[in-house]
Amino acid sequence: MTGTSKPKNKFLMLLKNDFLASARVISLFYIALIILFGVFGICALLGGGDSISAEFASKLTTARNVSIVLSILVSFLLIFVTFFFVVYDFFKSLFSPQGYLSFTLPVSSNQLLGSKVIVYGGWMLLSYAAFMLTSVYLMNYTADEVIGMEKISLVESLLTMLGDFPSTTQIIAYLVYMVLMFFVIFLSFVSIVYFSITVSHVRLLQKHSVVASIVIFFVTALVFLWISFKMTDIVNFVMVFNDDKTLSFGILSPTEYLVGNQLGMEVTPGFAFLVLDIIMFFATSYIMHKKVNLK
Amino acid sequence: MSQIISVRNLSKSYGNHQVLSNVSFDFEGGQIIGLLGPNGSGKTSLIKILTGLINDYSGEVLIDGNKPGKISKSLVAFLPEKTYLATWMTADDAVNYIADFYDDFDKAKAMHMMDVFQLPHKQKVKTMSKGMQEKLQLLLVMCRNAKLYILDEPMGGVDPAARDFILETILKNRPEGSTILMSTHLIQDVEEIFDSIIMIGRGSLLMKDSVANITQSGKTINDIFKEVFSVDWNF
Repeated sequence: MTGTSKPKNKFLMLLKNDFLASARVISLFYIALIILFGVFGICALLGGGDSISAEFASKLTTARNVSIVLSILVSFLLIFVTFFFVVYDFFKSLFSPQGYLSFTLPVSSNQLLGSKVIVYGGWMLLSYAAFMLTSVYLMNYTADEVIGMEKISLVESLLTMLGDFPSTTQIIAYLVYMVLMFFVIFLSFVSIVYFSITVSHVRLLQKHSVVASIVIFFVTALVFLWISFKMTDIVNFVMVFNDDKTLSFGILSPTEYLVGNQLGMEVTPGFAFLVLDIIMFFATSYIMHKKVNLK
Repeated sequence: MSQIISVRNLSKSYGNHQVLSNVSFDFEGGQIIGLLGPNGSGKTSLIKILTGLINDYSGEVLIDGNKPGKISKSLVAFLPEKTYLATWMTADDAVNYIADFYDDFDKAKAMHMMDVFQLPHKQKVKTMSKGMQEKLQLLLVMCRNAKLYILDEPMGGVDPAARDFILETILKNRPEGSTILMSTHLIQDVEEIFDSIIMIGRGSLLMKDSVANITQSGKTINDIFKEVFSVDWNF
């Protein structure tokens, strides 16, 4: 056919368009953060020179301190903006009149949902990482002068927790564990939000969808926590950082690994959340496909 | 020619309220079909089922031999009554969006039609008038080389001049051999374009026939519509 385009992977197109829809606002905060980091960097660089006047040095210090405060503020706002978009875009693109377009695209409801989970789960993780890195880096950099403390090191704090200098394997395992746990937590948050909004748009609850979605969100979150506690009670799978700088895995109670003053990371809650996320994904997709009623 | 739409024993209810009751009909491809019925007759529910927006129903629905789903959605170009574009999009964004998902979308034609319709490429949907938004949606639908066009009240709430423009755009841009299923209240304005009609009232199929057969008696579709549905208003 003349003028028609080549077939495209529809799931990639969903990812692209969900990313573009969210990036138009979220990216502004990242740009602001980059600009503030630039101001901070320039001030730090110029402030270190000997040839500048005291008055100029004072202005640089003020500008640097303002950029630090604003950077932390912007990175903090970023988390809220991302959270807002997780809710807003999902509702707007699927359950407002835009749903007439989204639900008639030649894609499955699994793909519609999967794209949003990946894009917004990714944004949530990135926004949290940006906030943490901004806070840690800037506070660490300015600890000497602003707070008057010895330079605080996140790594040093972690080493203190571990009691002794850990091995490379232990550090990597710890970091992987933390990243995975945050990923699972954000994934759970997004999946519970999407489940709540979807269920609140079935015909029975549609008239009170806002109240219904809030109630369903909290009830589902409590069920998640209860199931993860129960699973941990039954099988507490733990990653233990041993004194001899090795790692071991096992089904242990907290008293067993705390006796030796060892650090133990519980794996079961994360695993439980992951399993619940998968169940929630398919439940949401099913309800979206079968039960949702577009007005 | 194969059946472009095949509906067998279709029923749909919302709780205790039955909106479609045991509806069955078939249509061969290549026609313009009028879907007629008063408000609340079940037209919109039928359209939602055909387009894959409603999936919990009983009976069988096939679009060109496919159950409503990914394949059928790639064959159907749907124009709902509502404005469905994201308000932050520009006209160009909307064209690119549709081009991303439908392999049969003619982007070059869409860009040309935007100029013909005097739609600014960079204007955002939220700043467009209702008429401009409707033109843009019509353009997005009619620039597809689809097998089946489902148009839900395409001329509802527009002035007579706009009706002519919409009708002309649909007829001019419809690919040869394609089928159009159009629901409308404005029977007088469009009855001459229909090849067949289907009338639905209170969830039941009341009439399905070719326009040639119906008008043999000298009556218009509008007359038949009044006859069929007058019982609803005679208390």
